[in-house]
Amino acid sequence: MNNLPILVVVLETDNPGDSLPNLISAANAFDHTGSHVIELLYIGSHDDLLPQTAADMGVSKFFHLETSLVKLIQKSFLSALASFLRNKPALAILFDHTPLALEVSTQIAAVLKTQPITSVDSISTDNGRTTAARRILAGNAKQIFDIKDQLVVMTINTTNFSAANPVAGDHSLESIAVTFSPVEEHLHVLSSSPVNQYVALEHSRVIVAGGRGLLNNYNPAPTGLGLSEVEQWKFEQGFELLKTLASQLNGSVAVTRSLVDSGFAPYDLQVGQTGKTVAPDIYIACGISGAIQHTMGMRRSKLIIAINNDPQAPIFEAAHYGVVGDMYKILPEWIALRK
Amino acid sequence: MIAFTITEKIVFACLLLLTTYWVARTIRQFSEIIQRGKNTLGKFSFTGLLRVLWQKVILLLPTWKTRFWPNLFHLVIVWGFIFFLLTNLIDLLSVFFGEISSRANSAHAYPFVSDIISGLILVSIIFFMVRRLSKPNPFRFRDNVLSTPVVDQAILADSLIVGGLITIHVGSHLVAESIRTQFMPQSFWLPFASLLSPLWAQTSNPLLLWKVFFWISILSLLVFIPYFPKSKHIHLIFAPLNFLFRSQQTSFSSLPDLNLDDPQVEIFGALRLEDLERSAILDSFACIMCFRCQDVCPPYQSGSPLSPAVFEINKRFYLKENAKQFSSSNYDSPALTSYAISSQAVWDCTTCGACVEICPVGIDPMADILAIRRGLTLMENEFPKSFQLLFRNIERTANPWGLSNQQRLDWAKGLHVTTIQENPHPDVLWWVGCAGAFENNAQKASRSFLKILNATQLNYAVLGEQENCTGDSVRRAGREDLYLELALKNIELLNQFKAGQIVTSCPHCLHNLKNEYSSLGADFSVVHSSQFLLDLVQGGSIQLTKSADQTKISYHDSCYLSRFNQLTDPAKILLNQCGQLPTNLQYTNSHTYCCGAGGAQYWKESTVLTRPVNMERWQQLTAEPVSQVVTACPFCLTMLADAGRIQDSVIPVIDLCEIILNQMQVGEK
Amino acid sequence: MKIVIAVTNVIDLTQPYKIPIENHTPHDYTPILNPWDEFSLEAALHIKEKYSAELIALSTGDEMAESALRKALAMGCDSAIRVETGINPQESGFIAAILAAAIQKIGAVEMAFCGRQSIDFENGSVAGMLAQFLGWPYLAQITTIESLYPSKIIARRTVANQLYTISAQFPLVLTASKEFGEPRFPSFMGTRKAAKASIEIWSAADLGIERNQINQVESRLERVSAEPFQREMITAENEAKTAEILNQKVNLVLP
Repeated sequence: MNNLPILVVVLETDNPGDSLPNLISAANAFDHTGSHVIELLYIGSHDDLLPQTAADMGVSKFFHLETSLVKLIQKSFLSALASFLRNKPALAILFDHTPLALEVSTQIAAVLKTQPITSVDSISTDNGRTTAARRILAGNAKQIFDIKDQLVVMTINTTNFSAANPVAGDHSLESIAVTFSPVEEHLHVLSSSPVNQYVALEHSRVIVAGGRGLLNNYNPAPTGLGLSEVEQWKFEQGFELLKTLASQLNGSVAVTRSLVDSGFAPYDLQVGQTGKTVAPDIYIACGISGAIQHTMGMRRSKLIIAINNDPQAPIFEAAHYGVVGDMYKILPEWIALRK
Repeated sequence: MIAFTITEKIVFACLLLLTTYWVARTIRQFSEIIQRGKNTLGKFSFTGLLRVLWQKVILLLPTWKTRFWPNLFHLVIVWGFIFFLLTNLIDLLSVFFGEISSRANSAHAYPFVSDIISGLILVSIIFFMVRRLSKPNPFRFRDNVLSTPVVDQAILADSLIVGGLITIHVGSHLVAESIRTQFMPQSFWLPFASLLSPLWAQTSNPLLLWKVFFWISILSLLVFIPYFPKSKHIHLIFAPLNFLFRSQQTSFSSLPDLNLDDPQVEIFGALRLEDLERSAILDSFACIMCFRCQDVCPPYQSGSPLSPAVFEINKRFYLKENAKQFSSSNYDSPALTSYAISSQAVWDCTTCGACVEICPVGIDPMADILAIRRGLTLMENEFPKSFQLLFRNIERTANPWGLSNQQRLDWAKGLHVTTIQENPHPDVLWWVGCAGAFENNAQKASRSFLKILNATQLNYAVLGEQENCTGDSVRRAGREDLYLELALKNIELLNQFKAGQIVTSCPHCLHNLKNEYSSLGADFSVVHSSQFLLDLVQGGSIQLTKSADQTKISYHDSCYLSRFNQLTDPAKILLNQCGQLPTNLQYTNSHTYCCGAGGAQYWKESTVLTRPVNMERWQQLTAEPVSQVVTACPFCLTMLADAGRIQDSVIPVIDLCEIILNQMQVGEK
Repeated sequence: MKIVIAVTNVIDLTQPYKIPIENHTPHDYTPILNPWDEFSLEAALHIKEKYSAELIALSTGDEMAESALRKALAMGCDSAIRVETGINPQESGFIAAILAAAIQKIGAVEMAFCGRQSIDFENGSVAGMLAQFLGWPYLAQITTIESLYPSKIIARRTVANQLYTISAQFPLVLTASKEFGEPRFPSFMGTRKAAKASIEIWSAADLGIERNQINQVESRLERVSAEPFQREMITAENEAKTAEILNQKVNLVLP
């Protein structure tokens, strides 16, 4: 394997302060002997902390392609980046697997006439041979690539890599500014505003869902309530727990058909055969028995967790992790944990 | 002697000619209007007409399901009307050939019968007038039902006008007869006429007075005739016609097939009145606006804007207002959903057929609703959003659950099941159905039925991976193309195996395989599991023991079994032999009440109803204390189980097969 | 205005399929039009309806690819072209090169829409590479179209919790996000018409393309292995412990 450097490219929009250690860790996975140097190219406005973080992680060179956030969104830097990379010998160019970085990486791969490997989950080196793996088919299979001794462009699923430890010793870092001349721009940012926090169910990355089990609430209801008011109270208690956990996880709340049919929740929140079909990263099913009408609406979720007090509930067949237990005891503990 | 002047004769002859012209014109317009509909009406048959006249007109058989007293008085009026046809003919002839009534005056019973009938008619009319005016407003429907604003007043006004005219017509005839007793002694006692005759004792010129009332009676009829076509009372012409043509249907409310490959056809289903069948237009003239169908409509009772009665009335009112334009063949009438029925109402129908069953004049509003669904789905791409998933699942996996056919035998895990690959020539082919294969509750019923089959060592097989949906739900959701695709595939498949008998536990599959597929060339002997089990019991293959439990049970009749296929007895006989005591249900047998699943409702997102259909049915079934609710349809099973769960009820809902399995012993053969 | 929409079939992951372990090419599966392509189709149809445009559906692959094109036609595309290369390329670079050549052959195209990624292999790299091969700008993941002019489009997209309104010059490559709106359900009448429509077929030679001129690097794909659905019951001594374990599991995936 050649000894060319591994270049990590981060964009300002990647939240590099947080993700850089994981990217460095991915770069480190190319080799255990430390014969590859790791270099960093940062594209964005001035960042005080980044060079220091990079240096701590053992990065030897810090290239900075200075550009404003707006120009970043406009990708005005693209031709400059292309010509920089054309002249920059490297074994691998690693991007974070964020939407904008993914776009840039694929465009760069086309310039460099190489097939990009996106959304890499793991990298390992064995006997000097480096392989990268990524999940496909909704996690049911894995593709394994032999990196070979040629330039590779990748995007890295940083959550699958633990943060690199700071290296001891010399922290000297060579800072190099990458300059570029302005080019004709085809994209223009006209305005920008912070995004509305509301996420529709179909677009939620995390969904906390509840079923009829919400009504199996053994906490004592306030006295003086009628039968249907007690039901309503039980539901509200459970729904509140779902909402709290969902907001802690930046997600949304969903329910099953029976809660909609009995008038507890609006149809908009229904997941399942006659409701919405969702495929979030995380789906937490609380008190849901898991009738097929429900599971067909959520079975494409990447991680499914089921909490139900009935060990026979079919939901456990469809869940990656199952817990037999009372959601009214587990959820409060979980919420406390995330406070 | 009664004689009419030449002037009277000429004037009357002119009036008669005018009326005849008017009637001819009206008949032409009606026929033009009806011919705007699609397809031809059934064939006219004389024997059929006689049967209709006897059963539906003379005996009024379809009316007796509800409202006994009004029906009795109505019967009097119908018989009276028929009699008055004769009376009017005699009166009419007497104008020109004056001697008749005096000749008829001999020892004939005619004046006596005439008197009795006139009296009874008047009593009946008084009954109806009092009933109509004393009730707050019987033509009440909720505000959420789409209708022309004046419908209720218009119906009331129509009733009063017709009631008034009958009173005048029959009343003045009776008065005339009573005056005649003054100058023409009767050989028979005339009870009603003699009640009135003292009034005329002092009259100086009874003959003149008689003439006055005679003419009032005749002329009121001539006034009535032009009004008649605008009135709901035209049903006395159209209801028998409706029955005549409907009686030729091959099965209950059979749906017309669409030829989707015909490049000439540009409109599939119905968006406008003229896209509906001719029979649908006939329906609107036959409607008597009695609201019986609304009373038995489960979605209406649940708060839906669907009222089959108001739909028929809206059609009728539209035709009344726009008869002239509509009768011209190139006129495009407005969309039905803009004035006749709201699209929500169209999609709320559970296609349970209760309205068709109850209608005393043979109207089928359900057929129209399904035609409109076809129009909306095929032409406008408009349907409840959740049907997208249903359609997509059917397209991809040939079953509504969207599960792979490879999983079709998962329910039988751990049990022995014979597939068609293992036994390609079975005596009995068991059509499990998608619900029986994929739905939790129904899977239990399938397992029970399988255990029974295995125990009896019958030569049977299931299709397993080769089975597809019959297409019932997509057909009733309007996707005739998907239905045809499935139906043709299934027919081809079933023809391959030539099984002696097909048995299925799903009433919807049954109805399609047995009845609806027949127009596509299928000819299968299909039975429902309840019939099949009864045959096994009666043939001695299995014996049933009586349960010791003396708590009553509620048996819920599935619409597609009991109403569409008149199969109510097998399940009841079986339950009886199992020693299960039934509760008294108001809605039972062919008069059952829907569970809320039919017409693809099972696959639709729930619309906000005051009380969902399945909850209403649950209430009826559990009004008396019962140990369990039993049904013989996988969809009813799930809907009722859901309703019970929502009510936190401990009453189990189980399939008939489970009871049989528990109570049976295999016979020695 | 001429708009090309690149579409492809993918594996319906809700149905049984064989994991392509041996020759890496999927087989024995139920094909469906890539849902991400449907979002882009919806965006293009929105433009067609609001501003009028000619929509051309484009796909590369064997006859199996035609069902994707027919669905695009049923949804409202005006015509469809399939590029038959004799091999079914897996590398996005090769696909992008074929699409680029076809788009150039079509000529005078203002916008080319791609799906963000395929739901089965999730590479997400065709659109970016296509833009680069064409030398066009690339505007990804648009959520709404603000307005359309003869020479530019103004659309919105979100990056890192900021919503940007961006004006882009034609010609350009776009992808649409889920937020654009639920793709329409193809109508019966549309499907009926699409079933009869003829699909133009071009060969690689028509486009003057050879595989080896695209990538400098040989395919690196070494193997595909199945990852069994891991199903695990979590038991812990108390609820607090259970919550802790669940929290860890979630943190590993949390976006």
